[in-house]
Amino acid sequence: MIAIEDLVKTYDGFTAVDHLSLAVAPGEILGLVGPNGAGKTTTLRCLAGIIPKTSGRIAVAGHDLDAEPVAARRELAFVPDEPRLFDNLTVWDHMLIIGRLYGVADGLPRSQELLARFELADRRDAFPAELSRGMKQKLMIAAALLHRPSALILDEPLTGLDPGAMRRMRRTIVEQAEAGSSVLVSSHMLHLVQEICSRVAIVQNGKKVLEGTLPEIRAALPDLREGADLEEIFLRATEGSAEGGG
Amino acid sequence: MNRALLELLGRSLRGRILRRARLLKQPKQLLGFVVGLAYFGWVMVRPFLGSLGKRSWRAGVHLPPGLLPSLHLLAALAVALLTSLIWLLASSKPALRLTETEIHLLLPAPLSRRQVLEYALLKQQPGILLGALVTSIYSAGLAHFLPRLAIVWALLTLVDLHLKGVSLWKARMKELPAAAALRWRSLAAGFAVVYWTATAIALWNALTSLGSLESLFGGGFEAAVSSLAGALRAGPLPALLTPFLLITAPVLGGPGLSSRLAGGLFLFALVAAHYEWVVRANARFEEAALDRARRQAAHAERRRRFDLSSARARRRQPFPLPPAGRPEIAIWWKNLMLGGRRSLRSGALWTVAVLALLTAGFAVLFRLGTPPWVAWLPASTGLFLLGFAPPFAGMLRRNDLRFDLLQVEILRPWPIPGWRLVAAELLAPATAVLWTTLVGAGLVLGSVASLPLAGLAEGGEALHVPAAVASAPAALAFVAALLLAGMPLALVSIALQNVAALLLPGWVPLGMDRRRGPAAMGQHVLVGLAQLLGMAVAAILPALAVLAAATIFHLLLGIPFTVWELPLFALVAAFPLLVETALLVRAGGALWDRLDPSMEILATRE
Repeated sequence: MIAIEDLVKTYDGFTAVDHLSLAVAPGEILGLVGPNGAGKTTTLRCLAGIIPKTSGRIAVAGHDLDAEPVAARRELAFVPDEPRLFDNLTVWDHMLIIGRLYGVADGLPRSQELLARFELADRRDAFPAELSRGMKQKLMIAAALLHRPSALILDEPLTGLDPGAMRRMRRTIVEQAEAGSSVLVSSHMLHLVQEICSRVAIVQNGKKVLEGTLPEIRAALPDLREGADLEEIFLRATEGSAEGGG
Repeated sequence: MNRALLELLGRSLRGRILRRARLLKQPKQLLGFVVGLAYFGWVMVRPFLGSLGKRSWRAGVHLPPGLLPSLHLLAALAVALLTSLIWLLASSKPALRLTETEIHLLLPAPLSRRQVLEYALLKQQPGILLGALVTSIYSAGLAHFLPRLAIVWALLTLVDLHLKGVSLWKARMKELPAAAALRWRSLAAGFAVVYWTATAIALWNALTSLGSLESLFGGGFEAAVSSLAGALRAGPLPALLTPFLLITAPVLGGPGLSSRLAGGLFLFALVAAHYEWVVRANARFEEAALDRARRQAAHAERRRRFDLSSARARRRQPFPLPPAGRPEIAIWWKNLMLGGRRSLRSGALWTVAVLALLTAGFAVLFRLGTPPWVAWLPASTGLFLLGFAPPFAGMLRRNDLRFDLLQVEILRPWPIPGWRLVAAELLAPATAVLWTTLVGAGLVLGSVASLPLAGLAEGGEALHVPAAVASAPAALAFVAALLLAGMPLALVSIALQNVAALLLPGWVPLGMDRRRGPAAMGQHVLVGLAQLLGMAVAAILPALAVLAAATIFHLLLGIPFTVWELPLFALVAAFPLLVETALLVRAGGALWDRLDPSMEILATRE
């Protein structure tokens, strides 16, 4: 379970996230969409404990991020939009250290299995500089799944992946949710969000504009045509800024 | 040159200045800027202003009559050698200093090759001008400042253009048909062989005509210099070195204005000719420039360091990391690999073997009659390592939070309390310091042991120092004391740097970051001063503890001094130092838990 209540994050007087509340139940995938600068990445970073929030409450698997930070982080995995890896560690070193940090009992066999699943088994001795962006992304996700997190946060998970890898990644995200994890995905790929997410939250200027299942959101926008897809809903909900923001 | 490109250069420069100026809105950036400016003024401007009203250094110094012509000739010879080396070593991949963005913007644009090359050359100029400015400030008085600036600028530009020209020429040779390329290469190589053979013969004749060193210096230094100048100028050497003599004439030419003016005119004409040579080159440079830009963007230095070719080398680790156990050990393991993937065990074995060999080697040397004072060389090196590595440990190695803060997005979600993470981060640099001090200890003990091993008297006697100081047991006690107090001191030093990185992440250089500008310079000065101040404060408690222990031992209990007190006093000093380290780690942990990397780490990286 991921619970965000009344989250506020300000920088130098600028409010990046403005009283945002979200909840992702176990087995559920929530898509977080919004124009550039809407506060999506800031929200995810606050949730992952990377940057401190200004106010509000965040809980992961029932552990308050302020009161029990270590317990909350143990349940959590975060995959940032840009693959962040240690330059001096090989692919296998990354799996080894993550397994050790999270205390994964079956770390070695699971690492091997994940590397094979993400087609990195033959690159286990490669350094990040020798990997393509897509491979780095795969390694980030393999490392994130290593400790079987109950909350998975993905920021633009499909960027840089080839079509085959995109399909496998979609499947992996869905499987992770089916295994009982709460998954929060931020993406500009609206067809992906529409395809895999149980619910969608649209944010703009740090505030939640709409949230719910697709039919629920459609119902909230009465003048929208029957069967409108997420792209139409998004453009309608963020009218004015979405086109400019890209 | 294309107006749009000039505008791009101008706007880039303006943007860089504006970006730095905006940073000054932050009080700590402003403070750093002010300190940096004051430092710059102290180091650079003060000597320049101090030279106001003074004449150039040559006017005030009496030079032997033949010295300047000899120096001029030798400088010309050095420039000729440098030129040959450039031809020999320059890459055939002409790597113009363009960024990846510039390459992607400029190469597909409707610009001629000449315009792109001109842009790349002009882009180098601010750096060259700055180098010329600094050199001129130091080497010329105010009266000669502008001519010196122009000459130094021309010399630096000439070297830059020559490097690029040769590189482009070599690239062109690769594109030509093999027979044509071979013809050109043979011509160049043939010319070089003939030229250097003639120059070597002329130099040899000049030097052998001087006779023996004793006869040369028999009449004193001035006469020797005069003879040298005469011999060098007598043969064909000046004729062979004519172009290089002209290039160096503005700096080292005779006192007459005409020779310097001729040299200056030749130098500027040569710069102009080189410029045309480079911008007219029709070799392909695009791929090499892109390759260079990519390498630079990916921190080529770091990548090369970790680009270990063999699979065995890639799997090497400081020690095998068990899959389960304390996370601190995993962080230590990871950070050790920032310094290389050597095994700790094999590193220790190699160190012991080398030290043992050195000790045995010195023992053999002493047995063969080498004077015992030679033992001071390794001993003093060892003492230097033992004494200086611990207090400066924080500045020696940076494989801790100063690297890891750049990876804050990976580290922050790790399930480990802040203070334990900070403690773990201290271990890798501390290991390096421990290794350094142990090598120092090994050198001291090995030196002391090598004398008795050679059958000489005890070390102290052979070295003409009291036995109480340089005997083997005394050396052991002294080294043990330095190690016992040194390592806790090293931990304080490293902890201070890490806490500083957490407290002011914008001030402490992170990763390979090498920031420039007055603000960065000032920040470095302030951080360095703060470190020194921190170390001084940290030393107060241990010093008081040792003073108290010594008072109790000698004044109250009346125990006579022995060298074995030293390790005991070191332990007394170590305890408060360890407490201070623990406090710093706790403070660092609290800072880590509260750290907001948004502005100073994440935003600057993005």
